[in-house]
Parts: sequence; structure tokens; C-alpha cells
Amino acid sequence: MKQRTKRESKDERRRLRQRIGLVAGVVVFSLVAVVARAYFLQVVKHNYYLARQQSQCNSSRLVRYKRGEILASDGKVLAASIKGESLYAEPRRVQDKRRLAKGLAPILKMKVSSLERGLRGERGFAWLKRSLTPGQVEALQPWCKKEPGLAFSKEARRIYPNRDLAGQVLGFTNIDCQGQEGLELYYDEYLQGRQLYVSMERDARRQVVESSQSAELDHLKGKTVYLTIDRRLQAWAEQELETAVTGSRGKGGVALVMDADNGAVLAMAQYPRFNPNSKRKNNPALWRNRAVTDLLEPGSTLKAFTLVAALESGIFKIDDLVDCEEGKFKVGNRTIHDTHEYGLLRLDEVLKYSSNIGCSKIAERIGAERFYAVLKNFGFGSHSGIDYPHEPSGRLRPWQKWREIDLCNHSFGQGVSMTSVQLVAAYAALANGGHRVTPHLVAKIINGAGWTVYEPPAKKSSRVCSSKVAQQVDRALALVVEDDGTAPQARIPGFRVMGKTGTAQKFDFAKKSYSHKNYRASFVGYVDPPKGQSRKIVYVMVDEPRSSIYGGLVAAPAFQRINRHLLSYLNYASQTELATLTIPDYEEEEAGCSVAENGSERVENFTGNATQAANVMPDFTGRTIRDALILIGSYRRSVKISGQGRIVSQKPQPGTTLEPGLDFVFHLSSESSEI
Amino acid sequence: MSLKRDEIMLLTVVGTLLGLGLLMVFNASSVKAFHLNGQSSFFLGRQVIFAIFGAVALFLCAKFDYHWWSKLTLPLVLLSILLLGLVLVPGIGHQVKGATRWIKTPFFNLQASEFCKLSFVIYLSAYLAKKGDKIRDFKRGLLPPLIILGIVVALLMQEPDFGSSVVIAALTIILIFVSGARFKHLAGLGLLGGVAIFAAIAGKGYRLDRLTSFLNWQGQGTSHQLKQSLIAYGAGGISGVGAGNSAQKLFYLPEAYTDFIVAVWAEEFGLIGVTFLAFLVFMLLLIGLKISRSAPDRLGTILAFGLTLLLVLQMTVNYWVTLGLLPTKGLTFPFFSYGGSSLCVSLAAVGVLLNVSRQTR
Repeated sequence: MKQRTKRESKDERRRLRQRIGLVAGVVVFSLVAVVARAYFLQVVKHNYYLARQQSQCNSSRLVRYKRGEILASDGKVLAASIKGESLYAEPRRVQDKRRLAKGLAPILKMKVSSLERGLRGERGFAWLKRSLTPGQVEALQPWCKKEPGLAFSKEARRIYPNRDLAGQVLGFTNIDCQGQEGLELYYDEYLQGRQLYVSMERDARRQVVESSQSAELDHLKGKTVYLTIDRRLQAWAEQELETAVTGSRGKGGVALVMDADNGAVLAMAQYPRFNPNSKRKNNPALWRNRAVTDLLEPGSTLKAFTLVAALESGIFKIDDLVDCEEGKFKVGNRTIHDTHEYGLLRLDEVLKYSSNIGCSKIAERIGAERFYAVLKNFGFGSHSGIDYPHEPSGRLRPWQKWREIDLCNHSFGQGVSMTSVQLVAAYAALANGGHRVTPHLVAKIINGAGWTVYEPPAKKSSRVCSSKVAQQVDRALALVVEDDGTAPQARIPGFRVMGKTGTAQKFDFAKKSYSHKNYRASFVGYVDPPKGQSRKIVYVMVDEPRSSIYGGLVAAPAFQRINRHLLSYLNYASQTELATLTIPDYEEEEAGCSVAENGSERVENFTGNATQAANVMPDFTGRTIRDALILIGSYRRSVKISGQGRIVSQKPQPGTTLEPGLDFVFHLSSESSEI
Repeated sequence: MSLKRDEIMLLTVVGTLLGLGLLMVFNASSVKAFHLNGQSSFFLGRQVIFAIFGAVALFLCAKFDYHWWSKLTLPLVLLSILLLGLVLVPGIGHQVKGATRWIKTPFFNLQASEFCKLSFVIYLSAYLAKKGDKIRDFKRGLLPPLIILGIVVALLMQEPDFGSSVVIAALTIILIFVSGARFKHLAGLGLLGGVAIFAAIAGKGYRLDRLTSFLNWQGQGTSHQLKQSLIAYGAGGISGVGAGNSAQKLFYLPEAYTDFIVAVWAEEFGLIGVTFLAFLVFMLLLIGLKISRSAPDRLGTILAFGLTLLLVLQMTVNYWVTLGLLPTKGLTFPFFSYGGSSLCVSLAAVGVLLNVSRQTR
């Protein structure tokens, strides 16, 4: 019995061992299968899975490096890129799209339906709103924490700290910081940060893995563009132009300041103004930089070149007399009129009194071919070559096609058209003693390493008239501002002022004839600077003035005021010399300009003058905190500042009346790097 | 206390597994940990504390005569059932991702199913050793443990914890098999188990999804986890991408530091690493078998084998799941996966194993 149990237990024991061995064998086999399977995945299919992994985590992404700044000639920022937060969603990860859309709509100030459209589908990425305000970012924070399919992304945003200062000149970019208009477009190639497909590792939440992010390189960033535009001159030109346009109840206008020696544009003003920060709110017609893109008939301002042609031809001398036919002169079946009746006039007096008949007779004497050649030499009928997009060629038909009346019309500026810049460039050639210049807005372009990568071509320009003729025309133009000339209001005591009025009838395309109601009043000229300094051409044109139509009355005063600013600013004249005018104090102007506001408010806001505008909270967007602190100094009880860089939002809102004891909040955003 | 060769080997293997495991927990969890609370060593720190507790448990179990366990089976089983029941009590149970598997305590969350696994193996070994040949009798031998298994599985499925249920059921069947049950009974049991598993799968949509996604794992519907796991393996190649360089752990692979931690291991150390780890499992099996073989009595043999199998089976099944050879289920890789209960229980099991080894004739 005992033996049996022993044998039994021995059997049992053997069976136990056998079965354990069997199970262990199965486990060992399973482990071998593990290695075999791993071999298949890791060796045989290695490349396949590697490719799959790379396709999911190494996304090569388009990285756009920071767009370059546009600076005024004094180095102050006219256009800059700042980083702002944008909100995006991963629609496929959003569970309750309707609820999310409803929750976000009031914060983003968007319609629920359009948000829902953005969240539709199983996409992995959709922008919901770009360029958020700091307030919105704050309000959205809790939503982003709750909702896994919602996140912020830093994006560069273009800002124009001086707002509408030189707005049309600068142009603007689209939301991706690509130049769309103006200088932003023309120099896009330089301004644009390099776009690179950078391969970077990303985790499943589409976040870039820190270590894989490539270092930011200076040469990949956009280059810095220095303009020839002088911020102060620009501000004055805009201000005086506005005064001239509104004072004459005009439709609009253009003012230009150009260095006659090299064609550098120091100011290019336009009214109505345009603020590129808020382009959506503006009429697209406001974007157009009319000084460059609008062709217009110059009218009498062209007569200076008729005089040049007369003197260059050798047929006339400056004191030759021309019979001005007492105000009426028949050419074929048409009659040319003068505003006043003149008899015999000297050549320079033809210019002084702006006699159409005198010019016609001169042109007829020298003939179409020679007249055409002179106009062509001064750049009429061609491109000026200004560094700005969409410049049209001036219109000047070949002389062979001219009828007699065309020759006469052209001699006083009808039937030919050109842009304001082209006209000013021609005057620049006259003012510098006879050399063509190429107008330009950009002084230099600097790359990240500080090297100059672009400068306007400094080609020795061709001579278009002799310096003797230029001097004679100078003297004739100086007569224009005499008491009995057409523009005595352009005169500046103590300075020799030369210029020419223009009162051009606008061509009515509907009636196919010159309008008797709509005119363009202009004045273009220059002031003799101290020896060794270059002349600055100043041009003012008012479109469809109503109070008066004459260039001498509408545009000449603005010309004179801009020149006074100019003379004082360039220290050509002391304050006392110009005492008769109320020229704003230099320091005050500077403070005002550095944070340019609209028009006259610019000065008043920031000098603390006891004016109405002084106790209203301005819009500080794009300015530095220093600017803001200076102003709010006496009103503040507390100031809260977050972030660094430029102001992107503020409390109280712009326009709020300021009173002492206020709490201020400013959000800043650094102008830092790309992505 | 002098250590025999087997014990040194066992401790070496377990120590290696634990050391590599801690490395991997840190490695695979640091990104997630940093994302969660800005401290990349958060999970590592906790796992180290669990390891210390586990080491204490190992030491105590090694000192505790394993024969005593056979007298403690009733309290162990009752405690297991109690804990499994408590998990289901609202307010006590802690829910993660739709499954209530943890009992909340102020310091840690206890996973009852892990404790249950260990106590069930101990209970079963003691029962089978006592019954001996009587296991061939259905009513008096086979039925009692099956009833307890039924209760345990029923409770586990309430959590739900399909993986642990399958492991416990498989262990039961295997242990009953090795202790000499009739093939007739085993076939019946197998059929019953198959029906139960089928019912469980059909009853829950996500399990069916996992199964179908498993069955056509090369197709479109392959589960995200599995796809990412296979990518991790495949991208690893022969020698791996190097320690810490896994890309899959960057939120691509869910459960990168728990259930799928070996996939991260495979990506970082390649086929060499996978083979080495499989070798460690094999060594653990070998040592366990040796201890089991030379155990002084039937209880020691079955207990040693049961405990070895508890560890090795989970490891192998986890391997198979991550390789796409078995459907996805929530199972950890002992010593590797993050989780205090699993680590402590596994180390305690090693402690019991050591004690069996110490009493070798």
C-alpha cells in the first residue's frame, strides 16, 4: 500500500515535471517567436517602418524668417514685424464642435456659423483667428486648457508704428507678411525673410521638439531697408498738404520733397491719408500712391521746359520778346487764351506770367522735333525709374504725330501726361544744373551682418541741358514769386525762391473735353540753399480745389510752408530769420513725430500743450512704453506693464478722457524673431 | 544568510530587469511627465519609491517560510475578493481611462487585480499541492478553484480588466494542467473559457474593435496603439536608435511608459535589445524551473512554477501584444512598466520564489 502510494506519487511527480516541461517549452517557443517577429519588423521591414515614422514625426515645415524692417532716414521704424498669437484648432480632435464654436464666438468676435465651418471635418489643422489681441489671448487660455484640439501659435504680424505716416509709400503686407503694395512689395525680395523647408522633429501633438529646432541665423532674416524719406519732413509735408487740400475744399493732393542732386525722395505725402495697419477699413483707392502711379497733365508747370527748349535751341535768348497777342491767339480753327491780356513779353516774363500764347509761339518757332527732344531728355514720356511698383510711363506721343495745335498745347502742358514724380524729377534736373536724376525712395539695404547689400545705382547721369540754360531758367522761375508773378505767396523772406505754378484743367473723359470746373492746382519749385548744399524740390498738387483753382493760390502757400520747415530743419535758416511764421519748436516737433499721430494732434498730444487733444488717451499701438509713460505721467495712479517690446494693447481704450488717478495697463510684445 | 547560485542568478536577473525597467520608465515617461507637471522625473521618482517598497516585500517574503502560505490561502483569497469588491465601490475606486482598477489611498493607488493575481497563484498552488491526484476528480478536485476563479473573474470584468482576467484564467488552467488534471476536463474547461472570452468580447464593442483591428493589423483599421508600437519596433532596426532617442514616446505611442514600454525599449535598443530582454525572460523561466524542480515538496514545485509563470507569462504576453501577435489588452511588463502595484507584487513573487529556493534539499 505504502509502496503503491510512493510509486503513485513518483508517477505523479514525473507527470508534474513532464507537464511543467511542456508548458515551459511553449513559453520558450513563444519567446523565440518574439525574437523572430522582432527580426521581421526590425530587420526585414526596418526601412518601411522608418519611413512611416519619419513621415509622421519629421515634418518638414516652411519656416519664414522674420521680415526686415523699413526705417526712415533717421533710423526710426516705419514698418516692423512683431510676434503675435494666433489661434488654431485641430478639428479632428474637437469633440463638441458646436459648443466650442459658441464659446469662442464672443471672444473672437466671429459668427458661430463661420467658426463651425472652420472646425468642420477631420482635418488636422485650421486657423480660427490670426493676430489675436492680448485680451483675447487671456480670455482664450481656459478654453485651450480644456479643449485639446485648440492651441496658440506665434505668428509674425506687420505693424506700422507711425500709422498713416507715409502710408501709401510703405504699402502693406498680407497676413503671411508678404509684400502686397508699395515699398513692401517693391523690396519684398529683400524684406522677406528667407523661407526654408526646415525638417524638424515633432511630437504627436504637432509641437516642435525643442532640440530639433534650428538656430536662427541672421542671414536668413529679412534685410533692413533704409528709406530716403525723412520722418519729420514727411510729417510736415503731410500736414501742410492736408491744410492746403482741406483749406481749398479739394478732393485730394500730393506733395513731394526731392533732393535735386541725387533724386532721393525726402517726403512723399498724399491726402487723403492711408493707415496700412488697418487696410481693410479703407477704400482700396486710398492704397494707391498717386505721386507715382497717377498720370496727370502738368499744365503750366511744364512751361519751364518750353523755356529750356527755347534757350537750348539757340533760336531764342532770354531777353527776346514774344508777342502775346493780347490774350487771344488762333491756331488753325482753335483759339488759345491767356488769363490776362499781354502784349510783348520777354521770354522770362512768359514764364513769370505763365502765358500760354507766349509758350505756343516759342514752341512753334523751335519746332516739334526739337521741343520733343528736350521733353524726352527731361524724362517726359518715359519711366522715371523710381523704386516703386506700378509706375506708368508718361504719355508723350512722338512729334511726328503732332498737329500744330498739339505742339501749342504741349508747350503749356496740355496733351502730355506724367506722374508727379516724373515732373519733380525733371525739375530736379533743372535745379541741379542740367543732370538727369533717378528718383528713389530707398537709401540703402542692410543685411543681418550689417553689410550694405543694396544702394541706389549711382550712375553718372546724362546732361540734359547746359548749366547756363539752367541758370537762366532759374532766374526766370525766380520771377514767378515776385509780387506781380503768378505765385507771390511762395516767397520766403531772405531766400531766393524759384518755382512754377500749374493750373491744369482736368480732362473730362465722359465729355471728351477739358473740364471747366475740375482743375489740378500745383506748385513746384525750390529754394536756394546755402552754398554747398543741394536744392530740394518741393512739389504740391491739390486735386479739384474749390475755393480757388490757381496753383499760385492753392498750392504755393503749402509749398512755402513746407520750405520753411525744411529750411529751419536743415538749419539753413535761424528761427529769427523765419520769425514771421509760427514754426513749431524743433524739440516739440520731434517728440510729436517720434510717435506720429494724425495731423496736428501729433504735436499737441505729446507736448502736453493745453489743447483739447491733450487729455484724451491716444492709441499707443506699435509705440514704445516710454512714449506712453511720458504722456500719462501726471494722470497715472498705477501702471501695469506686461511683456516687452512695443505696445499692442492698452487700457483705457483710445479716446478715453484722461483724468488724474487712472490705472493704466499696457501689453507689450517683442519685435523678436520669426516663425 | 548565504546565497546559493540559483538565488544569486535570480537576483541578478531580477535586478537587471528592475534596473533597466527604471531606466526605461524615466526614459519613456519624462516627456509626458514634463508635459503634465513640468518635472521630467516625476514618474521615475514614484517608481523608485515603489521599488524600495517592493524590495522590502521581497526581503520579507524571502524570510517567510512558504509552507505557511498554504495556511493563509483563505484570508488571501477573501482579501483579494474584498479588494476587488472595494474597487467597484464609488468613491473608493479610482478611474483611469474608463476603467476602475485602483483603490485610492492618500499616497498611492492600489491596483487590486495585481494583488489578486499573486494571491490566486498562491491559493491555487496550495490547493493543488494538497489535493494531489484528487484533481482528477471533477467535483471534489476541480470545481472549488473554478468557482473562486469564476467569482474573481466576474469581479475583474466589472472594472473592467479583461487582461488580468485572461491571465488569471490562463494561469489557473495551466496550473491545473501541470498538476495532473484529466485532458477531458481540460478540454471542457478550454471550451468553457473560449465561450466566456467570446462572450466578453462580443459584449463590449471596444474589445471587438481591438480583435478585428488585430486580425487585420496591416489594414486601415489597425488600432493606433498597435500601429505606433509596430513603428517603434520597425524604426529601431538592429541596434536601435540609442538610449533616450525614441521618437515614438513623443506622444505618438499611447501608454509609452506602461503597457507599451517594451516598444520604446525595442525602438531605442533594436533587435539586440529585444533579444537580450527575451533572454532575460528565458533566464527567469529557467531559474524558476530549476527552483521548482528542486523544491522540497509538491507545494514548493507548483508554487515556484506558478510564480515563475505569473511573471514570465505576463512578460511574454506583453511582448506578443506589442508585436501585434495578440490583441491589445491592458497588461504590464513586470519590472519594466510603470506601476507600483505591479512592481511590488512582482518583487514579492520573487521573494517567495527565493524562499522556495532556500529550502531546496
